[in-house]
Amino acid sequence: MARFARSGRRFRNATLRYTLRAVALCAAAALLYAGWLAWSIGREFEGRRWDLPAKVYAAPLELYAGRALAPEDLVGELKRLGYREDPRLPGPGTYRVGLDRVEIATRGFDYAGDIEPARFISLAFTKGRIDDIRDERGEDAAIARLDPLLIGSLFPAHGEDRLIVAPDETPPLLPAALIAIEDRRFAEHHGVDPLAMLRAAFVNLSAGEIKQGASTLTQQLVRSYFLSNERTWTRKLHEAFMALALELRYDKDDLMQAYINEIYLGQDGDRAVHGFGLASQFYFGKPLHELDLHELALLVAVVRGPTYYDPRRHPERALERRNLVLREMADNGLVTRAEAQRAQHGKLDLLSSSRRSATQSAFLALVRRQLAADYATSDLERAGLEVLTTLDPGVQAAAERALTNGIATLGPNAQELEGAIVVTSPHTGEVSALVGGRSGEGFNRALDARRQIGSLIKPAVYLAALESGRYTLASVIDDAPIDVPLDNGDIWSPHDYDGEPRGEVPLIRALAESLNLATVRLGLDVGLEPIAAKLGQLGLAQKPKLYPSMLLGALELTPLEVAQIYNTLANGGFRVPLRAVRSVLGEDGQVLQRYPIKMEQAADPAAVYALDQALVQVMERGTGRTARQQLPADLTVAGKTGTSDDLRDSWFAGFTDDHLVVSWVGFDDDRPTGLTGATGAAKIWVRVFGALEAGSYSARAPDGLETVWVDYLTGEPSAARCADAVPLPLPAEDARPRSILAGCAGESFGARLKHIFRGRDER
Amino acid sequence: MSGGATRRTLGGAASRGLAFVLLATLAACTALEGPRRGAAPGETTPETVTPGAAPTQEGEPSAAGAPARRRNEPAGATQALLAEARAARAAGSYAQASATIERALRIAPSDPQLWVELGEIELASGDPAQAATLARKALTLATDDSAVIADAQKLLRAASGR
Repeated sequence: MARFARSGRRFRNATLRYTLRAVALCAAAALLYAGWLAWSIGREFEGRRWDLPAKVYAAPLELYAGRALAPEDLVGELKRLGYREDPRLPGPGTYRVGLDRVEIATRGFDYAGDIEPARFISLAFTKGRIDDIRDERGEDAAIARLDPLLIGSLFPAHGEDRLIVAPDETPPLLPAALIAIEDRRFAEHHGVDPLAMLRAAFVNLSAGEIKQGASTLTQQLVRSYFLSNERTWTRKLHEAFMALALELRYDKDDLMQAYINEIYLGQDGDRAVHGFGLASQFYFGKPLHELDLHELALLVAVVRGPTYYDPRRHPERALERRNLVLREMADNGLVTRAEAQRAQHGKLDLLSSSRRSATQSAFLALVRRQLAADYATSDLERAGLEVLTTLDPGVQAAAERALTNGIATLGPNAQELEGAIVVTSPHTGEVSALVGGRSGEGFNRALDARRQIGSLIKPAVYLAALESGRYTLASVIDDAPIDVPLDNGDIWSPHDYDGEPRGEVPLIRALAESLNLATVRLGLDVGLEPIAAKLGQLGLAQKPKLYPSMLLGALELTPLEVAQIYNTLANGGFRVPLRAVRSVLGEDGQVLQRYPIKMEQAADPAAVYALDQALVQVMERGTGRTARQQLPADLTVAGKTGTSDDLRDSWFAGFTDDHLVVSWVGFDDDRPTGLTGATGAAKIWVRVFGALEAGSYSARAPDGLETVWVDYLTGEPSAARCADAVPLPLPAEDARPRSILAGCAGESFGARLKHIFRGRDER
Repeated sequence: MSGGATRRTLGGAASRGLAFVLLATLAACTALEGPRRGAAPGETTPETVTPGAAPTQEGEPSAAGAPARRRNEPAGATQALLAEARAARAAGSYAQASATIERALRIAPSDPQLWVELGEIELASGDPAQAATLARKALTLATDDSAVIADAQKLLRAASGR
């Protein structure tokens, strides 16, 4: 017994000693651990405060007399910008539609140092055009701009996006409402609210699970930093502790502003919507300070559970909670009963998802790529830059519609078909729209799908031929079978698409009908080296391998690279690098960088002019004919089809003075589509073009060229009256001897003379 | 054993007291982290309504004297922007001048006069090669407007140093 007791005492002594040591060790460990927690929350808080993804804006809508713009399109744009219709025009961001005029109080914007003030403008329309535009004194205003549409931000790869608002951009009602709804004792507590905790603990104990939260705003802020939502006691403790640490170091205003900019408020695809600034754009399409009471209340309501109260998915739930928030706000004296009552009758007024464009992420990727040359990723994602881009929201919407609706018409396999579209303004090289696939997210085919371009390469072959001075569009080449010995000893025997050699044809017809045999013969005569060099001058960055198959487009390019080459053709042979960004502004609005128009002459203007006229004939008589017929009869447009081997890729590139559109259609796994350029991509292309406001392609013949009527089938001189006569620009020395005695092909000499003496046919 | 004890210690109710003791240590820890940064940065200051402050010089709506255009182009707007760009160039604000002329070019991309002006800006700001290219570009667009052709050729000569 005694022995037992003694050993027990010894045991107790030892236990005590060990326990004391353990406690001391634990205390030290806990101290270290706590220090680490406090340090990490401090670092997170400081880091997040400066986490400002670059804001990206579309091109502003310019308003001037003569601009093609229907009043309903203007109103659509105003709504996209979050302008509110209000007959009193109470302030910037409002408009009213009268019987014959649309009147706008614009918001104003600083366009890279070029300030557009907020102002009043009044517009009248006739036949889908702005007829006149007046200022508030009723005088003619030459031109005005709307503020640019915010299209997104360059948020980091982990998918969190923010639109930071400063305290002076935050409506004072917002913090007050948050305190009333989420954390009444925010002003008094030190990060945790023991009273609220007790209350919650009681509820949770009686329910047998953690049901009610008693998180203060500070705790919610901490939770949002660490993205974990598990409800365990350890996490709760960490959270409470970090909240205490934050409260110790920062004042309430800082914490409230951080909360407003940080809290999770919704999900937009793979993008997490954080902060009230971005949520305001995401749900209502307008800045936070322009929200009406019922809209602000909805955002406060969503805080409690952005998934559960998702106003788009669960409108009734969201509405109910919004009205609860409004009642609480009235109970707390933040608004009057009457105001709350009125707001409760408001609809949710959400921006419809059709007006949000997920596809703009494809364009944003291009923006990132252009900026990557000059900015580190961390600067783009954190430095609060503003990026003014070239995106035209109207063109972008048209291109997206064209792809979605157009692909659906492309036969039984249309379900899995993919596509891409690039739209540029040829003279300035600005990219006005970019579609990277049917869904806005994921693989960006416009930038990253390298596909065989097929006959899209032919204009480069013909341009090199014309520049050599040995060929004109009327020169005749043989579209007959050809065997090309290759370096490795093989023989390459290309064939025409329909397997039917045409025999002797003029260049114009060989290009318009995209004849392979004639093109190979022409290309081999001109030489692979000059053709590859020409491609480089037109804007191709990579140097193609000099295989004869290059002449038929055995060359893999992205739609954007194709657009660069065709943009040079559409711009009279002047290469201007395609640009998606006009300028970058720093946090305080100063211009960090401008990306101005820079041009280089890449080809002889006369040869490009002749080539472009041939591309007009592609549309009038050749492979682009079907597409051409769906456009207005008086529109002159130039274009080219492209089809790769076994019909794996279907391309179309075509332009006028105002737009170049490149479209591609194919399967991601490269299997044959059964579509040619004409039966696939051209159908998408024509949908884009049909929706655009476009003037004709209208270049002028340079000195030294004369436009002559030539027989399309033979290249012989022809009279303008003949069915197959096409007007071709030819070098003056080639043109003169041809024109006098021209008749139609197959016509007797006597008949020709008769026409000449009657003198009827000269147009 | 001691790891488990630590966790129990922290996880237990006693940790509340401990946590508050630790706060004192923390205050020291956090104070060592360096000075606080300023308030959350603001955005571009929004413009206020200034009635009557038109940003552009008002051009003649009919643009009398402007060369004939191929399409029904909004001469009033481009002429106003051209005048604004010329004023900016005269004042030596080349970036502003070229931004303004680019704005006009988006409205009327095949107006040779605008390309000549952009070339003049490039020449003035020290890029004669670019100026020469833009003069050539203007010449491809201006085949029947002798005044603009003369301007473009003059620019081309000046830019080529001839």
